[in-house]
Amino acid sequence: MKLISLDKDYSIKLNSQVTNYLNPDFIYVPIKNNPVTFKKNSKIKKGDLIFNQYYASISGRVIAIKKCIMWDKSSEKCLIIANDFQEKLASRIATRKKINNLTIEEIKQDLKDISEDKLFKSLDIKHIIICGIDDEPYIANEVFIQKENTKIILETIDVLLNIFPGSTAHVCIKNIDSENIMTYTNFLGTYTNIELNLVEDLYLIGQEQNLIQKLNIKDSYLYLKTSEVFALYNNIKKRKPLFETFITITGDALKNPQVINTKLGVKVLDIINTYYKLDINNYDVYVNGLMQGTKMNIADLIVTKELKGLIIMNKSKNKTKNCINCGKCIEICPINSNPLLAYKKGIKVKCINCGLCTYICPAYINLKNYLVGDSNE
Amino acid sequence: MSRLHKITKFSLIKKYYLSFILLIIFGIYKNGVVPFINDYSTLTEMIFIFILPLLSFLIGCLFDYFWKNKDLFNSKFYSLLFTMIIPIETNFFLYFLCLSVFLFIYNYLSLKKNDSSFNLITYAKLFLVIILIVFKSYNYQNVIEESGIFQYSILDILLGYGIGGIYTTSVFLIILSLIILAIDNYYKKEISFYSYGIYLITLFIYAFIKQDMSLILVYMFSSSILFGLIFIATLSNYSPYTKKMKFFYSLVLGCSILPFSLLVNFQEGIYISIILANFLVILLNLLFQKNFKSSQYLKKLKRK
Repeated sequence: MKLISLDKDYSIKLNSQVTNYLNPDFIYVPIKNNPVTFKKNSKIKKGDLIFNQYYASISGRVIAIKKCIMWDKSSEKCLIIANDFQEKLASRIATRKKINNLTIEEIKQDLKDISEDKLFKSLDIKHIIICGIDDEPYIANEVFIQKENTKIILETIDVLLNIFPGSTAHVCIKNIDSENIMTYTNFLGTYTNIELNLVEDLYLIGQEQNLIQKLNIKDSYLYLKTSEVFALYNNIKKRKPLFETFITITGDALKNPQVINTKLGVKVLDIINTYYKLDINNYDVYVNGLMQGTKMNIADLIVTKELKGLIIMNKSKNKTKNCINCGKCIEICPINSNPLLAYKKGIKVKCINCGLCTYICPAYINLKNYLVGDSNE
Repeated sequence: MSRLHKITKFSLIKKYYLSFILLIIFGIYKNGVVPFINDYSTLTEMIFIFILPLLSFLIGCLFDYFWKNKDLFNSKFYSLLFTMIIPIETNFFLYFLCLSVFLFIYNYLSLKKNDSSFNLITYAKLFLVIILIVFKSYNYQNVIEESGIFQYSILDILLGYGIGGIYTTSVFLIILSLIILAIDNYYKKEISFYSYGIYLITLFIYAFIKQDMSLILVYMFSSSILFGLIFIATLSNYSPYTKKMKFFYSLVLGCSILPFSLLVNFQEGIYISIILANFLVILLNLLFQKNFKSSQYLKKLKRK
């Protein structure tokens, strides 16, 4: 796969500290089209399973059901829970003191945020790849998770090394991530089987295939993002699902771009109204990034595990022009697809939704939308 | 980054305009100022050479304004480009008639979002030439050249004192323009380089057959051929965009320039070659598309 370095606006800088937004007034938990088992005013405890993998991230009372927007523009029914700010837990399972001697069976019992199939697809693992790279410009959730939880991540990797004896762990971060390089080098001396691998600042370098190719790994491996390692730690140490997530709120329209540690199910607009006093209708808001994300109305958008961040940009004056047949979209495509066939002839072509064709287009045509079948945006 | 917020701006058009300005200034000097100073032409004729690009640009602006053209390469660009390649003796009225017809067809196709890849400017040029031949005003030589006083050396030709389109005679400035354009990522430089390389090979073969190696020096610096290869053949809208097609286009172009130039003349030969290469590429694309569709249809049938 061809990898390139993207032009970035280096004036957009994130605050060095993570901001906590852990006491929302309300949370919205997706129930999709399932019958509601919770009646109005019924009490909910933190950790109650609402539906499938959606847990209540606060304790409180059910007040209503309302349609909300998910990160992928889909509309879902959500249970609105009013916070009682007491954080009453649904179960009183004690936190484990030691986790480095756990058996596979014990780990399997506590897995909530990572699928068993992904973690234990093979027991003969030679390499554990921990990717601390955000494959989306301006979004830095993985970077901040590592920065805030370096010890935790290394401790969890050590657990994995015990489960897969004889394996080596590779923590991969970008060579421009100086703070994490410093922190890891301070701690890594005590973990002999963990290597720090620095990779170039290239777009899509963090993708499984690309990273494996870069590290030249040919044996069996386990690939995990640092956010997954952090979730695994919560599952096996605290024996609870994740109630919080990191989201990046940035863009050239904001004076104070930052990474926010927020409760799952919070309405995005509540966060924006708390930290930024701006009328969101006057800006272009991209959910989950400028490259792979989509521009959408975030009035009813809620925070889920899949939401990585928001890019709030000043409205652009550039207008879409007619295609000039330059062919740059074909040249830049990492999988050698032909986006022009989709744009001009409506022929379906392969697409990994990387957004590079749109990025390179001099005529400002949103080619990505023609490829994924959403040309109306 | 995204289509609306990218940092890298499209600046190829600015580079084209910079090249045009350099060539036009030299054209004004060579075909307007020098004949006037040497008492070969009148003040009105010199002023005409001076205002012709401005008038063409204004006509382009008018077309863009009324048609609300959404192209990056718009009427302003094409009218200026068209002006540069016309013969010096061109009749004012015939020229503007031709330019208007060309811009009308171009804007009409653009508005209809017709995906035609026919290089319209080459057709417009040949159409104008035919009209000029009919009206007996087809001449690329300015008044000084016509008088036969000067005989140009290779150095003169390089410096721009050759015979060619009204604002396209300076080989040195054309090569400088190529350098300016080639640094832009969006310029299809491969076409210029491949086709010129192939043209040189054919030229060597021809000179070898004729057993006159001096022909190489004379023909390789033809301003019309260089201008055609650098500015017309590489026009983004009318040239292929895949690597293979670019090479095929350049191959046809490079091989056919010399035969057409010898058969017709060095001013028009390059345009006929572009038309041929352009036509063959369109034909191949159509064939590939048909094959692509039928292969997809076969795949669907297999799945069923």
